[in-house]
Amino acid sequence: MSLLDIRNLRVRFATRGGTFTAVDGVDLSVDPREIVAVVGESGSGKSVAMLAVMGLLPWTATVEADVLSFDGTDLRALSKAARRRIVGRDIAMIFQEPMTSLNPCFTVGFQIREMLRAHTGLDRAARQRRAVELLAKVGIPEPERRLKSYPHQMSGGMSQRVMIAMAISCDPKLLIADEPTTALDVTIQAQILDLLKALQRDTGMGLVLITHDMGVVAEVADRVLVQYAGRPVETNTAQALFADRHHPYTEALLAALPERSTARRLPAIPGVVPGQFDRPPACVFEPRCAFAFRQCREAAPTPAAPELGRALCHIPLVGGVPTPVRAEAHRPRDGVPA
Amino acid sequence: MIRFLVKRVLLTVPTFVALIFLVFVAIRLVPGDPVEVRVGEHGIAPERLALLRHELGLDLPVWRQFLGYVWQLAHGDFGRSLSTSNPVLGEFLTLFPATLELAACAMFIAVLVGIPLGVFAAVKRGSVFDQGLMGLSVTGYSMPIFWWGLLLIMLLAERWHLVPVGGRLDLIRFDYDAPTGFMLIDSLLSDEPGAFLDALRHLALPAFVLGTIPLAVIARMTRSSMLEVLSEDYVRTARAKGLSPFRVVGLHALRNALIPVVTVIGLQTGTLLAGAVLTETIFSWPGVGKWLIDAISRRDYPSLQGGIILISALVILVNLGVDLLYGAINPRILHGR
Repeated sequence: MSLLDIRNLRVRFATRGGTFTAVDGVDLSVDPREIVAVVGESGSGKSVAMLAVMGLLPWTATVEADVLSFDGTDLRALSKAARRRIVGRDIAMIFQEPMTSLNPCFTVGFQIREMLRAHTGLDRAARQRRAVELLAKVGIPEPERRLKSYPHQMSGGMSQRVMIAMAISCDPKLLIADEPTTALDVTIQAQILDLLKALQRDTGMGLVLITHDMGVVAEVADRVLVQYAGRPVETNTAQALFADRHHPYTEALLAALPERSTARRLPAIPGVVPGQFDRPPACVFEPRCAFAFRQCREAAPTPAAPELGRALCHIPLVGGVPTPVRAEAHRPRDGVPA
Repeated sequence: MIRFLVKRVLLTVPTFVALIFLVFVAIRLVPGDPVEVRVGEHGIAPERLALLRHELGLDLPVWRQFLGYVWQLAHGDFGRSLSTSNPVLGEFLTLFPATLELAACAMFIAVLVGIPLGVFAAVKRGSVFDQGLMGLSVTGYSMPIFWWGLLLIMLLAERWHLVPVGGRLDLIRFDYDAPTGFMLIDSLLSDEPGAFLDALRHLALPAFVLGTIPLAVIARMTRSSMLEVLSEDYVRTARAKGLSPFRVVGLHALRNALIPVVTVIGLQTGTLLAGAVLTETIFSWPGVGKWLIDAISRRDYPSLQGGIILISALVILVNLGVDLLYGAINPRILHGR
């Protein structure tokens, strides 16, 4: 049985300009001991989907799903208090900005011990011992002394280590890491990633890694979910995905990796993720797609077969070439390679 | 820490010099001097007037009077009142506990009610409660104290007889020593049954009236500060830890939101003591406020100067305390210096 099971998740925000659907029909399942990467540009709804799992969205958001269960418990049926007992203890989350994610008014030790106090029956002395142990585990030297530090006395990498220590303090079954390395120096990024990988291996927890960096995905993920404008556009094992991409967006994301570039200019995906008011009516990726044709502007695509990565595309790519399997009137756009 | 303290204390010295100068000059700009006021409308012989002025040193040039006064202050001497001939400091210290008791209770009410209201409004932003409270706070903030006080006296004291009209204690029923000058404490020490309750009943209305403006300001400030803090990443972290909403809001958010609120509380102390002058007059509260008003009408220069300087010293001290509090609330501020 999978640890986290999400089917057809929809998150809507009530805004002044009307309803905005930030997440639209996302399916995701995470097994114990599995690392799943959720990939997409900023604004593709990756964080929102995970915050919905955590129950951390603001009151303007409505969360709906056919299935939203964790470890056999239906999260939608839980009372707020019951949900708080799971959040933090069984599902923990770390965030993109470690420097601002810790409370500047309290020592690191206080913030870690507070987590233990909320979810475990440890007494004061045991909490202190456990906090020291946790800091040592995430690779912070002189843990006793560091526990007395305030967040502003630490670097970004150090803060993220503290966040990780706090997140794993109650031995969670699932850790959600929301772009944990984005705000850090490149050298630190690799260290944090290695730490997460090692912790995941040692504890056997499931790990959801939200990222926009295909390099990170290649390094750690077992499975990948590619999300675009709130929709799941492709999902596959990491191995299969890196062997062959079936959705033009995934292909473009991978082509945008600097180390893959052979041209003088870095390749980029033209345009930006559509927002509330410029969502295309049919295929959401159509305006930026190199392979788009008439049908893409007229009908919303349905997911392809599992062996094609459930690509949300009329003409899923195979070997970088569109396969007009379901396209009745396939006429490529001018100047597009066939 | 100690260096910071010394620096802050030294910085108050120029503030004091400027303050003394301002008070000294401003009083002398008011038409009529103590002698003229005492003589009244009928007037006396010019030679006699000159003699009286000479006795009080009022015939000297203002700069010499000023230097003389500063010299006197430097020796800890606030002079004697022109109307009672008692030492100014002694009179002030006798009356000051009454004012302090009133102001402290007013601030107590303002903080104890204002902060929770502001927090609640921020959490329920946009709700009927929030909008209602913010409307009320504008009203409270712009309410003239004397009018508000009279209004409440009319309703609560005159019509409904819930509280007494004025004074600090029912002097017909109670008679005891007042060793501290603070009526709430003295009434408890006196062993007279009902004295404490009576003192409290006398204090309640004036303290509430005086606390109205600070309450409105504190509630607004808390609300806007909380709104800012509630969207911070560390509040999300606190919620991601599965902590109760009470702990997330009341500890993680509020502690960070308190800095501007504490600043406002410090600044409001000045407003409060200024307001005490009016409140004491309305409620016949025998404190320094009423004493100062009397000193103005008598052009009692030494009392006025001494009283204002002593009150200002208190305001400066409170704000110094507020500066020290910043570091206690948010350690980042202390380390930043």
